[in-house]
Amino acid sequence: MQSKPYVIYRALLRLYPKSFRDQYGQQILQTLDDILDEKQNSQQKFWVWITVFGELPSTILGEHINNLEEKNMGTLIKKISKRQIIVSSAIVLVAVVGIVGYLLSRSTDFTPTTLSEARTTKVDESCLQKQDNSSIKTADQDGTFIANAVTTSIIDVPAGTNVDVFLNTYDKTSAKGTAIYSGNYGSYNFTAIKTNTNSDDSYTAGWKITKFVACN
Amino acid sequence: MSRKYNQLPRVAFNILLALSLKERHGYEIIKQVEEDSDGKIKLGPGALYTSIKQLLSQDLILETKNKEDTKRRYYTLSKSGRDALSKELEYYEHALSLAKQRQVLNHTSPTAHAI
Repeated sequence: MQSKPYVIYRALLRLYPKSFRDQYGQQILQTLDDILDEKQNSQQKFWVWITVFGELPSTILGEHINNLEEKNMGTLIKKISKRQIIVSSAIVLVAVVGIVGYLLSRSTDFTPTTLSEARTTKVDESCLQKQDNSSIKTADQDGTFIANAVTTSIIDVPAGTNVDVFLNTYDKTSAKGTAIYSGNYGSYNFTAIKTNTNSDDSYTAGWKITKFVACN
Repeated sequence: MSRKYNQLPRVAFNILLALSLKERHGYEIIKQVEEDSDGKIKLGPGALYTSIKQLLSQDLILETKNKEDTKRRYYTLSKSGRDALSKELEYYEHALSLAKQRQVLNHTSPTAHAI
């Protein structure tokens, strides 16, 4: 499944002139795939997105100007194209500001893929489970689905390690809680959101972990 | 095509330099440019392909096909691209030798003079 930034980036490629898009659109996406494939963790991918979104306004504007020069169009058409350029630039700028803001707001909440990364993300957070031991009643099997989402999100836990997943808050579309691993693997606060209410995934039912940080 | 010294934009210069050893596809060019510039130039795909388009239109690079990798386009230096890179490097070499003589580089040690 393609990530949200990827889908947005692919849509923004439409703001390049058609001739450029037809010639290089596929190669741009192929190169982006190659870059993302080599980045191991979410923080590295975050900086890739900052780079690729950050360069969009100048490169799109530059390509439109090049396009104008190449076509050597008359004054009237130039006026129309200038308006197109201004509109395109405004759309790109608004989109880029929004996307960068969205990415920055998520920068401390990236889902790590390993326990070791989670331990380096935050060190001073109190475990939610210790603050509230009241049992949370969940709809259907959501408790199990959320626990499954936790176990599938973290990839470096040795086989046979037990994890107890406690919920602290729950409202059918989001939940917060604490995952406590056996052995010396520690405790972690997590946030889960229901990303797809019609998910066919019988293991997580559309629940996704959006935050996973070490806690005390 | 005749070319005066120092006419290549910095990104274009670094792409030509990256292609001076062998043909490369997009991501290989990005990595080589970043390595050659000590991490100072980080290209994204958009900036890369707008520069590649310019270099192709100026006949400084050529698009090639790689039989083992049909998904990606590969690029190589053309003869005029190699000439342009060579002239650009000659310009920098000359400028560097002047800078050394005039001791304007930050890391140039002042010449010791006997009293």
